[in-house]
Amino acid sequence: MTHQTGAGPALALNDVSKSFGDKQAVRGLSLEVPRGAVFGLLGPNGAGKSTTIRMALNIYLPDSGSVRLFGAPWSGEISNRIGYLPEERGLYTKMKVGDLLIYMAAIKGVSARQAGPRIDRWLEKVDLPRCRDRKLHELSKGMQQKIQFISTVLHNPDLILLDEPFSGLDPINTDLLKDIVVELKGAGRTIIFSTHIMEQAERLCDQICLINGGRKVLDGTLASIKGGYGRNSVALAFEGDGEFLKGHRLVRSLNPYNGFLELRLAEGADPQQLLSEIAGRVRVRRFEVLEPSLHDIFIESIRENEAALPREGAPHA
Amino acid sequence: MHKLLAIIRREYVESVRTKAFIISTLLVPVLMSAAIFLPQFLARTTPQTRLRVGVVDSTGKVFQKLDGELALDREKDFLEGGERRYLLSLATPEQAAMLDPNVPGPVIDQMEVDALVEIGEGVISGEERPTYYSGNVGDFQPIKRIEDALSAVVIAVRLGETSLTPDQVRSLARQVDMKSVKIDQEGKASERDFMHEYLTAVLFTIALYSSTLMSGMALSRGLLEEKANRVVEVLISSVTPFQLMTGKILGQALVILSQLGIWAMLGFALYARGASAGQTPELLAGVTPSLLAYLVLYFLLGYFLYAALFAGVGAVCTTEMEAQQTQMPLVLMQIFPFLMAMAIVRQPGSTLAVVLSMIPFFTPSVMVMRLALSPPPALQVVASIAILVFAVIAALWVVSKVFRVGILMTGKKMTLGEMVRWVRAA
Repeated sequence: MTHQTGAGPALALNDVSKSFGDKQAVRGLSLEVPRGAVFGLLGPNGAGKSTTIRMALNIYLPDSGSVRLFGAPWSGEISNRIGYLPEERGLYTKMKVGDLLIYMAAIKGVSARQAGPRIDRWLEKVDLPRCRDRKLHELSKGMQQKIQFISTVLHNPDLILLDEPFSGLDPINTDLLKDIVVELKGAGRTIIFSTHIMEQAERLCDQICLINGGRKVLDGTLASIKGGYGRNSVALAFEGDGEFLKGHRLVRSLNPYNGFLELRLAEGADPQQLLSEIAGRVRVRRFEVLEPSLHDIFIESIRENEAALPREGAPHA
Repeated sequence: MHKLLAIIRREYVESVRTKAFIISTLLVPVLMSAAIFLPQFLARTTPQTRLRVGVVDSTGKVFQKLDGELALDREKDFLEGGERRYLLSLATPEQAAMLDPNVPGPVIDQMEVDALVEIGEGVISGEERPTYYSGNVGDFQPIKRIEDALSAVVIAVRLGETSLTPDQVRSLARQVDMKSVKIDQEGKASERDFMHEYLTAVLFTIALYSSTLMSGMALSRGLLEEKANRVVEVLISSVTPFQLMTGKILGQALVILSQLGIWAMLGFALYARGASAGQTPELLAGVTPSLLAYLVLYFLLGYFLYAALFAGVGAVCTTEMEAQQTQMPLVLMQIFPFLMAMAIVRQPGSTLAVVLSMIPFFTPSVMVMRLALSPPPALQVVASIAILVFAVIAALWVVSKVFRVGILMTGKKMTLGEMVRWVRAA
């Protein structure tokens, strides 16, 4: 099935916009997902993640801009190479698991004869053997989610789009799903998933795109993004009055944590210099230069982005 | 093509498995035969109860003869045990004087009767009508029997001055009973009356109506389900909206064809059984192969018209409640021909019938009624089919435009303005 027809990335959005009535959900978004990548589409609630995914799937047509999959515009043939797990889960609850999966495979162009053995394999894999003849409404919500995941990948799609795949899963099933994602990547599939939980993105993604208010805030490989932020965070614990740190020329921002402060350093600031200045004022118990977590990058980028949005260009106090 | 088949298959299999399908498939024939045969059956069997009838006879000439008259018919006037069904008692002058036409209750109570017949003096001359008082005037059999008997008696009294015997009077006063004979297309005759024609016509219309309604509602309910559980997102990213709509409509078409097939087999079994028992069910006597062919054609076209509209309802609505309200006009349009059935059966070629049969929403039922009654001119048949085909194509076209946007909308009801915009835009 993995016939790599046509050149070009698995998904390329070029300057796409979409609005619903007065609300602009996505504005001038461009992004490219290379084949074989695990791509995280990140952003706070209402950022436009689901709208973006739906435009990639031809569910919504963009108001402007273009969408290309594997270098080609949408077609029935392309649709067979794509698997999609919607954010709001749901299936035909009155159908039997086996019938449902055969149907879901059939609308992706896979015959019942081909789908049959795959269904058994997948059910085995997600730890739901012997439930082919059970009706969906007899299964628990978590089980239904797993069945829906199977329906997403049963036709061996080259590109898999998962909208908030981990929401509502318990830790065991979250890990199971993560393992499967890693396995699918190993088999050369491209996976795009949206989430607002950074820890998941950090563990799974090669590349991310962070969007807010329908616009791209930042994108790139996880390594380059982290590199771009540099090792410019410091965990600091001390005794004494730390009031002087607020507004210090070397400190851009500070976040209090339980037992320590996380300092974001100003552009070009040297941690070593900061340490020497601090050491003269308070008693330092811990001073550690940190790699910024995706979580911090997320929070900071969104804050900056939102502060910048209402008054474009105004310097941020 | 495989995708379309998959959609048709799922729609068919899942619908046929529902309780609604099984129940309606079995219930409609049962109810229909009950509606047809039960009244006849009940009318034929007379209850084994005796009726005490008080008579106020102001003429003084009727009571004796009426009593005798109501003992003449072996079947009608006697109970199974041989006792008389009608026990007549003559009111005393005091009781007669007591009778107040507005409040006859006390006299009935005092005479201890179930019913009271008042025969005024003017009844003999025909200036006055006799009156039947009873708590129950819905049981038409005794009323009819007493009326017949009273007619015979009054006529006999009027002729009483002549030298005719009561038997002669009866045979002279007998009414004629005209039978009606239908001439079919080949010029052959079959004995049919209004009731037969009406039932035959309405029978097919009911079948059309109930199947179309059932599958139409299944269509819109199915779409609502897919919208609610968001399967529709997966569907739309896998098949085209047109494939989805067509697959569903065709799947439901197979459902109703299956249902009709079952009904036809039941009908045929009934027919065969009736024929072997020597009594051809008159209802089915008028059904010819050409009528059946037209029936299937109109049936399918009518189904497609309504199915497209019901699919449209399912696509634009978001809740079951909203869908039911939006469906109301469609349901009413299907009921409308029933209300017109009387008029159409009486005059299948009237302007009303012709006009109705050219309005696509009514064409299937009205044309099927007319075809069953007396063949309409070929031009009208062709015209009605052409109009209907055009309407079906137009409905499918409009609905497919609204469908794509509509099925992805959730939470917000679509306004008419928006619908028009989509149709124009697409």
